[in-house]
Amino acid sequence: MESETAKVGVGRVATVISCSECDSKDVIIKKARKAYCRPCWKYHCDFRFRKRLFEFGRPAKGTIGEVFRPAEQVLICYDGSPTSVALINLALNALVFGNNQESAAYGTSSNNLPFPFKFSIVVILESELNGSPGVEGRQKKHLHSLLSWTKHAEKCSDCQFPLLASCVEMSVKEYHKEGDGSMSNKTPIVVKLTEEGVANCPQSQLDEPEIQISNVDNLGLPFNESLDHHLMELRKSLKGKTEDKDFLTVLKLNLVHQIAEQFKISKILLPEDQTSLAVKMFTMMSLGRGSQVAEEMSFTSTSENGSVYARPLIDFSDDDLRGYLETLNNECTDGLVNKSGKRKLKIDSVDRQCDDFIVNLQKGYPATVSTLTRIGSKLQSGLDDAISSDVGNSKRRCQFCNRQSDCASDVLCYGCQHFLNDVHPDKKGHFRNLFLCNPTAKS
Amino acid sequence: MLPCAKNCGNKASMKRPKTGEAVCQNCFYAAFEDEVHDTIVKNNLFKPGDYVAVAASGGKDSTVLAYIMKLLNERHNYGLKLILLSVDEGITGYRDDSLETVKRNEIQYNIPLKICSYKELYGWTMDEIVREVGRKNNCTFCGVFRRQALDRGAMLLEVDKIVTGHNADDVAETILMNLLRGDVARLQRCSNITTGTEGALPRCKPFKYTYEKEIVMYAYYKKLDYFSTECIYSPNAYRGHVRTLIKDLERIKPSSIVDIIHSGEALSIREGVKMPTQGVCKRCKYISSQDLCKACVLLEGLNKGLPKLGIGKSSKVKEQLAIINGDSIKQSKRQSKKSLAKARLVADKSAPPDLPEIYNERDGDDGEEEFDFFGCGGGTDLLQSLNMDDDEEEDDDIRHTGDPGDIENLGQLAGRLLMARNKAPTEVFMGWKKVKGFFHF
Repeated sequence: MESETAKVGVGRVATVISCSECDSKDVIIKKARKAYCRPCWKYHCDFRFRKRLFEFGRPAKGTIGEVFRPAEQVLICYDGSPTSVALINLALNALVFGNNQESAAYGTSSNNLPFPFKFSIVVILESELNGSPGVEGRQKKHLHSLLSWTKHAEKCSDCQFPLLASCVEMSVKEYHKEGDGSMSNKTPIVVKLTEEGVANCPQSQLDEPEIQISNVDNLGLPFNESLDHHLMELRKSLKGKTEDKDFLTVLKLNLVHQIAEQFKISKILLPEDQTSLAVKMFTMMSLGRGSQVAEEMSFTSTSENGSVYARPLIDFSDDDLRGYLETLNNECTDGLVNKSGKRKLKIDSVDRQCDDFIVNLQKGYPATVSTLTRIGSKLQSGLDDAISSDVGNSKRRCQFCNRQSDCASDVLCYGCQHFLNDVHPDKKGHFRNLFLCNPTAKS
Repeated sequence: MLPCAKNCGNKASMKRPKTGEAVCQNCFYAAFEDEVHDTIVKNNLFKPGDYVAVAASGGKDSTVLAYIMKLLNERHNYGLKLILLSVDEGITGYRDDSLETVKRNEIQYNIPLKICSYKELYGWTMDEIVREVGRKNNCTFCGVFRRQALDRGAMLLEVDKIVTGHNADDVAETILMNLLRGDVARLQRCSNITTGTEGALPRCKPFKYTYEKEIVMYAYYKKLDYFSTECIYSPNAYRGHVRTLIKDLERIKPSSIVDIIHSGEALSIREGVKMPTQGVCKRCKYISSQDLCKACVLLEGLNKGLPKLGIGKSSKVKEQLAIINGDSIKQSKRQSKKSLAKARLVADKSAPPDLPEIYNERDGDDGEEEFDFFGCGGGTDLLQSLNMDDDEEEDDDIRHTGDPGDIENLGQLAGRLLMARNKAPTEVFMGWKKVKGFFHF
């Protein structure tokens, strides 16, 4: 990193920083011992993200895969955070990397390897009953902005970014049971959002039973009022905000899992950066979910049915991504990013406390989140061999959260048992019926 | 007034911090003692005939521990022979007072007492060390020396085990601290209830699942004699941040402490991750993952007038030791001319003096070897952490930390630090010329 001293007054000196790559004075971010201007930071982020995606898309070790194979469907989880806005823009730029002016300035060309992915975006919505007041209006406004973004993305990349939406109550497994109690994979749980809705939609899309098509204004929330009501009753009976937030997080992840299963999408990108992973690690440790930290902190993790979840933003902190968003045009972020900054939320739950701790610690100790992410990637669950040998499987899964379980004698993991311990005794049966495959199993 | 949750017929006089139950005094005592007994039995901490040293500092944890060990030993016939083992660090106005408490405990509980002192073992008291080292990094010395002192004292007594008063809050803090420091080696073993079974004297923690608040309540209601003042050399240590987090989490969700311990027990390290190998110190034969144990390195530094010798990364300590001893330095990929020059500066004693800091540390924290380096309350480590030393980037296990306290900007920091060294404000800016890169006015 180049630096010059400049006189700024009598007896005062200043150190002026310039970009490590191009010596420009317009530095927007400093990372490690380097400083970057806007175009260089954008290039740096795009390059690193693309590298991670290629790592994600590489054929499995020991198999003979094709580098140039038909494009694979990848689901991008979008939650409205700046991290997820950065994720969709990075995904878009990964497709056009080498084909635009900025890349050309760095000597890369359109002879880069073709990208083997086709992206879809999934958004999990909440109804007024299960969300905060005014949530529906805010969500719809955001969805309009997201649809505008998809239009812009199509223009840039000649690729479509279908926008799928679902509502949180659709994660309830009860809904998906067939008459004989077995799980159905064919019940539609998502709506495809377009500007026009059903009108002007190709007939081929209308014929697909799994997808309903709608425009944002006609989108009715919740999708299923009865389930929404049951969910609301259950959440009200949880004693604390901590359990409620953890419960909602598990429901949303389960729903993404079900959507991926239904559409046979085996690759999912999660909007988790170093900061959110560090917060998640501490939150999970505080909730007794230590056995699940390893799979949630790794770059990729594989679910029971073979779906691979990736965290391609694992190399970036939230400050890095905020810097990246500053490098983008307004078309890429308009209406998606809250310009006024993060709201100050009341610290009334474990995850908010951990978030506050990590963010404040990071200010004084800049290596905090990167250290936590690095150690997270070195962890594995240290479960007793007795548990794995008991059921004959190397990994026993919790029936509710689908993560690795640390309880041999229960269908729920230690962390999910808190829900049962916390919920009102009258609602325990309700919880089992709604969320467990076998409600009569011990929990 | 609520009835006691144990249905004993009495009125509740307190709420248990761990469970939230409203209980009477007697039921609280019974629950507390039974839980410790269950921990001892389930984890097979002792066997009949064991000679056990109870690490006693005079603080609440060790006082309650000594009381409980004696009580349960008699009640449940553990068949143990107990002795109190205390370490005199030589801190005037603190340790001498707390040792008086331990001497009273010796009479009150009728358990013999053995005191080891730093002066006898190392030739230095903490007062002398602080005079030499300053108020920064002194807890590194204390923690490392105390751990060895306990082991050496216990070996002299020929005990079978050491028990320490580490409670659930301590264990939870240590787990989170080792995550934050990226210390994979310690993370694996810090949640074990018994450690040191591989060679050194085993140590166990009967209070592993006992909340600190409950220990305080037990000591208070039982009117036990303990010493409750903090060490006079305590720092605003890194551990303080984690301690505050634990207290905040406990306020939101009381079971979070036990949940963190449960999570820590469920963690382990992937195969293939580089881990330190246990050996013995070439000088004193104490267990060590390096050629020389930390205590020997720190002592060498003290005796040669180089108090910073043992502070910092192991790789840098090795370089400095090699220069001092005139050995050739093996050039590794990451070593740069700058780090070698720094090592020479230390050897030449031309390094700038340390900046004053204010510390506080909890009584009873044995420090272990967690603090190979030590965070300061601002100052040099903060500058170093922001500068990101040359070969710092990918060191897996150790990283620099610093505690900026309530300093809002670096200009303020520089002003305060250099003012403390009696420099005029205009010199602050001149001083910043030496600071590389990140800061500008």
